Amino acid sequence: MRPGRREPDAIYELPLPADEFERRLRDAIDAVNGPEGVEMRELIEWFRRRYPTPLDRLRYSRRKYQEATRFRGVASSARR
Amino acid sequence: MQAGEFSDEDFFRALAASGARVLLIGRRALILLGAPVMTADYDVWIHFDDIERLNATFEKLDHMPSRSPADARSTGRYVLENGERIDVMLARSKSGPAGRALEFDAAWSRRQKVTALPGVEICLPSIDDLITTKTWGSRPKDLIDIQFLEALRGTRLP
Repeated sequence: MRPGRREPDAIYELPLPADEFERRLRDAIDAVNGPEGVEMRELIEWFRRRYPTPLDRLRYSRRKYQEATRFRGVASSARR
Repeated sequence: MQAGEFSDEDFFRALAASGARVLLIGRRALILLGAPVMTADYDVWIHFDDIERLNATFEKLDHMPSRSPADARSTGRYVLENGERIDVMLARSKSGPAGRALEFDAAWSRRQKVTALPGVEICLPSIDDLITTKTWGSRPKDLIDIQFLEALRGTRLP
């Protein structure tokens, strides 16, 4: 990784200063009351319908996590 | 499944059988409730006095604590690990940089139960308390989880 350049995952995981987090939190909650929230509720409905039990949902999530990890490995090798 | 790993079924049965006051937190809690997110590990929050019960149960699944109970109590967290990784938090009360505090006893009194397997119920914090736990990390990824929790509010598990 070049100096000063962060992987997207690192930015996603990096804690924000408290006031910045609070500002973004307010925006995020506001967004749930708009079209973004409608989309999220539809996603939740689909997830529960397609994977009706907690175990089904966990298995799906594990599978997707493994796929994402494999993809990240391939992408990171390609960058080297 | 490889040696040292356990299934989600084993995990839920172990939690329920442990007799420990334990709350499933983190992204696995969101997945149970119906949010399509991904994660690598389990996160639980246990009562300060129940660490030995939890450890004894997971020892049967070949998962060992990373710290002694005394060390874990002084640091407030440890890991049960082998083929799986369970982050265990045992603070009596916790708050994040933004100052949102939550006591375990209060969260426990408001817990919700989810039937993880037929006859096996798992305890999760209420939606409001899960949101509080998600503010502690103050990370951008936590904001997405909070949005899902807000969207889950008022929905009922089928």
